[in-house]
Amino acid sequence: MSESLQYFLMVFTSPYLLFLTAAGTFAGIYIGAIPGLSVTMAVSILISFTFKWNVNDALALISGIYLGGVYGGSRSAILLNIPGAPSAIATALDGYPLAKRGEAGTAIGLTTVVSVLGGFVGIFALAAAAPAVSSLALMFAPRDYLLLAIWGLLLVGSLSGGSLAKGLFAGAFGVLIGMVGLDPMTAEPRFTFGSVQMTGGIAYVAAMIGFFGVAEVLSQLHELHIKAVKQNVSKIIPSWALLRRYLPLGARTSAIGVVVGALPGAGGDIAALMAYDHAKRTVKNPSRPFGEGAYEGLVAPESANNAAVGGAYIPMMTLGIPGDAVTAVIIGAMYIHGLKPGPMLMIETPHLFWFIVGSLVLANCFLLVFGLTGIRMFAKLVETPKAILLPLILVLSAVGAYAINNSATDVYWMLGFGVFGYLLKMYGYQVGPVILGMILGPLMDKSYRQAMISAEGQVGQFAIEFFTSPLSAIILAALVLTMLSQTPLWKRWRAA
Amino acid sequence: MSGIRGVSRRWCLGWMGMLVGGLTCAQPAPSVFSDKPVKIVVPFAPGAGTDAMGRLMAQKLGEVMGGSFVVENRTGASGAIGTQYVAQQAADGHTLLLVASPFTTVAASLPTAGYDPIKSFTPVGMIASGPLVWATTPQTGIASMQDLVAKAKSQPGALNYGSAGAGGVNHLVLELLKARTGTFITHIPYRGVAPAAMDMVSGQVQLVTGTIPALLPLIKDGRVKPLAVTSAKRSSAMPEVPSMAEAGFKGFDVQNFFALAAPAGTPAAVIEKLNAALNKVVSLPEVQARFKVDAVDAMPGTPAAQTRFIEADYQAWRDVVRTQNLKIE
Repeated sequence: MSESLQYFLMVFTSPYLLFLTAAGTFAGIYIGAIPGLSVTMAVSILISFTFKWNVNDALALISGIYLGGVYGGSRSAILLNIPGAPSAIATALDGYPLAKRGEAGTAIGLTTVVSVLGGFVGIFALAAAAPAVSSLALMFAPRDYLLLAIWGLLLVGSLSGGSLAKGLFAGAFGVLIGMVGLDPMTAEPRFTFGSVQMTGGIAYVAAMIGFFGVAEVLSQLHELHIKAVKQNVSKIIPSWALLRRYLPLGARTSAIGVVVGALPGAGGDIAALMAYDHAKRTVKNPSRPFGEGAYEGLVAPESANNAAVGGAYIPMMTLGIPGDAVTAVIIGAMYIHGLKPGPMLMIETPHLFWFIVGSLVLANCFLLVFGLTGIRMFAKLVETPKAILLPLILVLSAVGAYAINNSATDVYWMLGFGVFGYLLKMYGYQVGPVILGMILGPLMDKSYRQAMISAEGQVGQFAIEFFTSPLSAIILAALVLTMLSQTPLWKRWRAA
Repeated sequence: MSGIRGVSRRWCLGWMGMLVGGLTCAQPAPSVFSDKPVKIVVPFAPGAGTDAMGRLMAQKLGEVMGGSFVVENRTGASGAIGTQYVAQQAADGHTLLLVASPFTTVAASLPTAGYDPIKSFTPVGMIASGPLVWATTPQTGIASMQDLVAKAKSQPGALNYGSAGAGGVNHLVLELLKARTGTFITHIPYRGVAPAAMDMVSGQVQLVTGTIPALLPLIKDGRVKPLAVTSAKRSSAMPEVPSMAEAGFKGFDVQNFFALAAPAGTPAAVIEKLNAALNKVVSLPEVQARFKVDAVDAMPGTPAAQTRFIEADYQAWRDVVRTQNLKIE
């Protein structure tokens, strides 16, 4: 035990490791904030430089980049309405309205604190309950992923704005875009019109940048005469009273983040969307209506996506199976350094496990420091005259879209979706459901068909499995309850 | 207001400084053929195994040849987009393709792939190759490949096989086995080996194939049982596991491979220079050490040897696609 503690503390006591973790976290925040530059990209490029390093140095740096990068996506989401990464999509929904109200400083401050909270919950789960969480993750069958995707799609109802019909249209359109490309089961081209470029599908990050960034720029052109709201930067660090109010929600959504993060088929983006949905359904009196700058709409996704980091490490450490793309790269790096991630890691090299936990804790501490510094300067970015800010957003969007695949095609998609998103906004449609459909549609498609093949194509067998598996039955019951709770009948019953 | 202006000015100066610094750093180093750097296109996302191999080759070829080799990821359509891109570039040796198994499997199964693995490229040389491993769980009671085939014959469709994706080598190796044995095993495609392996451990599927490093942790733990490697010879990374020939499947030899290729028509002098450097790189002790970790063996050789390998591989997959009626029209 004392040896474990020694390895846990190693990263705190070595100046070089302290420096590497700090540098990684700092770099991660800014890499994450730029749309199109992903944490996976940063980690995999970096790893090729660390082959000759000491393994501890490489792992400390990666921990920083990973945690910093997941958090960094919220910066551009709040300030510019362009999520830096898919896991920050839900953050933009209430973060940007807050910036428009002059509360960008408070929003970033709160986001930082809850991200750190989520990070700690994830790390705690990794340190204390890794085998239990990994056993739970092992129980998830394709039909459970299907239920999760359906549950996530229910969020369309929440994101529809005034009209559910318009929300459904937007969601269905998103699912349709998500279907473009090679069929995941048969590799048959779908909606590709014979084009090889289309067989790769439509990069949803390009669509995301278009729908959020470009569409916002075009909408702002109508408001050029309106001066930017002056940002109130007097209160950056959230008060204890404010925090105490959001802590229970943050703890719940962090738990969602850990579990969803531990599933290899889902990641921080789905965790954040599900957490947002959870907040919207369970918070009776939000600080403001959701979508108009509710602090709950920031707390939920931001705590969940950072908790998902610890979650993603769990199957990697306990089974040698990566929880997401970043942990897949880390596994590769561990092999190169002669380590064997997996069930034997904690038995053969327990010190390494505790070193990783220690470096994640340290990176999370640095996240708090770097996240809370420079907020005033960032918040002022929103006050930049629109004649400068709007072209800047367009340039950033184009660079981000190009960086996804080094392809001009993604820039065209981004522009196209930007114009389409603008038209949708003009006609009172929300763009949130479109992105939701794009992310969850393919997951639903793949999971449904995998589950159906497992049930030998028998509809009866397929249906029965939802009731014979305890986990499926629980998720199904929760899903049905969630749907019922939105019906007038239920509301009347609750009122009575 | 002046404060805001001050901030903006500082910002502008900072950004300009970073831009100038970035541009200075980005000055291309001299190339081996001219002053241009050589681009190695990896048709998969950063982080994938192919990407790691591409970065290793870029680094070491740069060291050996004294020029600049950079990796560019062009992803999509199971690698077809990046591959097609390289086929259309100038044949001057400045754009190379990191070739891996999907190069032939995608071309064989997807008529719209947009390239011909033989006609669209000039081979530079093989890098390395290694087998996949057939794996199941102890709960299935299957102890060998013969057991597997016997069970698949006695209970057609009862066994589920999880692949890393439709049309990939993990999928086609199953189809090859089915074609050779006349059995039916249900194919369930996943996105990558990781979710498929997870579902095998939890009992959703009974069989997967994956690279040795991907499955080794679960094998060592006893949750997963290796049946055979997919090659004709045993793998040095798993010497206790039988080869396909030993398991009773003579002539069955499926390998995951890596190679370099240039656009068709690249001058022979350029290819010769690159091939010599590549052969030197794959023999370096540090590169051999990396290959050991990845459970692949170096394959130094001539461009002609690569042509023979690719032709045989492509033909084999075309036969499987035809006999199993997988071709998508």
